[in-house]
Amino acid sequence: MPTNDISEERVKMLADLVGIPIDDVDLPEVANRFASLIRELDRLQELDLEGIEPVSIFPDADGDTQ
Amino acid sequence: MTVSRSPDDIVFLSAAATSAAIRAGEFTATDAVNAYLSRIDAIDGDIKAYITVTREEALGAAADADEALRRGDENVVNGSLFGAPVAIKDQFNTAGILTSNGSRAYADNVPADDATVVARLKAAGAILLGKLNLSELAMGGTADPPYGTPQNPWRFGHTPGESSSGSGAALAAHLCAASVGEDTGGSGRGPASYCNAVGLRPTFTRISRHGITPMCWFMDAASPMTKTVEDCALVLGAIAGYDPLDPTTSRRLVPDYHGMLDGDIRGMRVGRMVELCDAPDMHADVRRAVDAALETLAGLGAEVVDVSLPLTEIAGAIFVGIADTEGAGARDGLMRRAPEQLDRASRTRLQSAALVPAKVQNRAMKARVLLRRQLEEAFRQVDVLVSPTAPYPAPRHDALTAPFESADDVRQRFFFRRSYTGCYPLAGMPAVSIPGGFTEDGLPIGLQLGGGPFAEGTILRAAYAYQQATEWHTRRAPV
Repeated sequence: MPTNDISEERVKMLADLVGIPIDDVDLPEVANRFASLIRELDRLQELDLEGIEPVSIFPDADGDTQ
Repeated sequence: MTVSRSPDDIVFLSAAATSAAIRAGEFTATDAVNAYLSRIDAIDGDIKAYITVTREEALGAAADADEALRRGDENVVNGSLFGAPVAIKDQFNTAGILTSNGSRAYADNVPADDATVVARLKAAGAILLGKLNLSELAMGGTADPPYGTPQNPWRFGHTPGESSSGSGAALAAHLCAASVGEDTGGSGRGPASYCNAVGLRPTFTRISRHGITPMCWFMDAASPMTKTVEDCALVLGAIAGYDPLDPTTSRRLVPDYHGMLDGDIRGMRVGRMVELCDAPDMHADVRRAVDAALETLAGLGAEVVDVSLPLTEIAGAIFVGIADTEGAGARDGLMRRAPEQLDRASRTRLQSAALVPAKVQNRAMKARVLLRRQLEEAFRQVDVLVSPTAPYPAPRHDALTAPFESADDVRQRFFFRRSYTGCYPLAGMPAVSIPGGFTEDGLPIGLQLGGGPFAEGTILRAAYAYQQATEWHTRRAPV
C-alpha cells in the first residue's frame, strides 16, 4: 500500500467503515501512526515468506506447547 | 528486638540480604516494612512510583512473618523471599485491592483473586507493599497518566521507562526490595535499563499469565525486576512453573536458578548482535558501555564473536504490527463504547493498529517465524547474545509523549528502540537487562543478555558473573 496515499481523509473513511470512531483532534496522529506502521511493514514484502506458517505459541522442544 | 541496622540501611538491601537479615534476627519483617513505608511516605509523593500502598496488609503480613520466625516454622521461614517487601505492577490482579492498569477505564476494578504470580510471591514469603504505577494498559507513551507521571530517580523530568515505570522507579529509589513488572515487548527490561536495575523477560511459557490484564496474549510475560541478578534468580524461581490456570505454561521443571550463579563463565560463547550494537543512531555512551561490557565478559573467560541477525533491524515494526493489532482486538469493545476513557496516546495507538489489514498482520506473524529461526541458528553458535537494552538512555518525558508529527517521527521515536527488546518476545525467548554503566552525564545504561528457549539459567549466570566484576548496580540514585 503506497503510504503517500494514506491521507487523513482516507484514514477517517477506513475507520468509519470498520466502526472505529476517531475524533478530528486525534486524526492527524492516527494517520501518522498508521502510515508509519504500514510503511515499516511494507519492508516485509522483501522477505521470502512462502511456505511459512504463522505461529502464536512456538512448540516446546520436549513436546509441550511453548 | 534490637534493630542493628537503621531504616535507611534496610531499604538499600537486596531482597536476598533482607531475607537473610530477618532470619538472622538483625531486624524484623515489621522493621523492614516500616522502613520502606517511611521512605515511601517521604519521597514517593514526588516520584509517583506507587498507585496503592497496602500499608495495613503489609504490616499484618510482616507480623505473621515475625511470629513464624519466633515459633520456628521452617516451612515459612525458609521461603526464598521470606520477609522481603515487594511491590507489583498494577496490571496484576490482587484480591480486594484496586488493579487499575494505569487507566481511568479500570478505576473501579477490584479483583476477587490474586494473580498466580502474586500468590506465588506470597507463598515464598514476600510481603506485598503495594501496586506500582504503569503506562496505561501496559502500552507506553501515556500522555496524561491518571495516577501521576512516574519520575526517573536518576533524573527527574526523565522517564523511568515503560510500561513498568513504577517498578523501575521504585527499585531505583529503593521503595521496595523487589518487584514484578510485565514485559510484552520490553516493558520490564526497558525500565530496568533506564533505572539501573535488573529486569528479566522469561521464555513465554515459563511464568503464568493468569490474573494479568493482557496486552498481547501470546507475548505477555511476567517480568522479575530487582536490584541484583541474585534477587532476579530468586524471584524467577519463586514464580516460574506450570499453572493449571494458564494452560500455556510449560511443565518443564523449574531449575534452581539461584544455585546456578557460580560466577564462572569460562568458555561461554557470547555473540555481539551486530545490527543492534552498530546502529548509527545509537547514543555514543551506550556504544562505549557495550564495548566495555564485552571486554569485561572476555576478561572473565567468555569467547566473544560477532553475530548478524538481519531481521532484528525491523523487529520493532514486526512487534508493533503484531502486538498492537492484538491489543486493538482486546480493547475493541472499549474503543467502540468509550474511547474517551483512554489516554490520547493509548487511544490513537490502538485506533491506528485497528486499521491494519489482516494480510499485513499475517505477514508480520510469518516474519516472526523467520526471526525465530535466525535466533535459533545463532544459539547453535553461541550461548548468549549481547546488545544494549536501549539505544539511548532515559529520554525526557515530553520526548515520549509528544504527538507524532510525521511518519518519520513515528519511526524514529516509536519503532527504533523497540527493535532492541522486541526480538526476544517475538521469538518466545528470554532476555535480561542488567546495569551496564552510565552516560557521561550520569544516566544509567542497560546491557541486555538473551538466550534460547528456557535458557534463563544461562543468561542469569552470565549476568551474575558480569555483575560480580562491576559495581554499576551498587550506585544509588540521588533521592
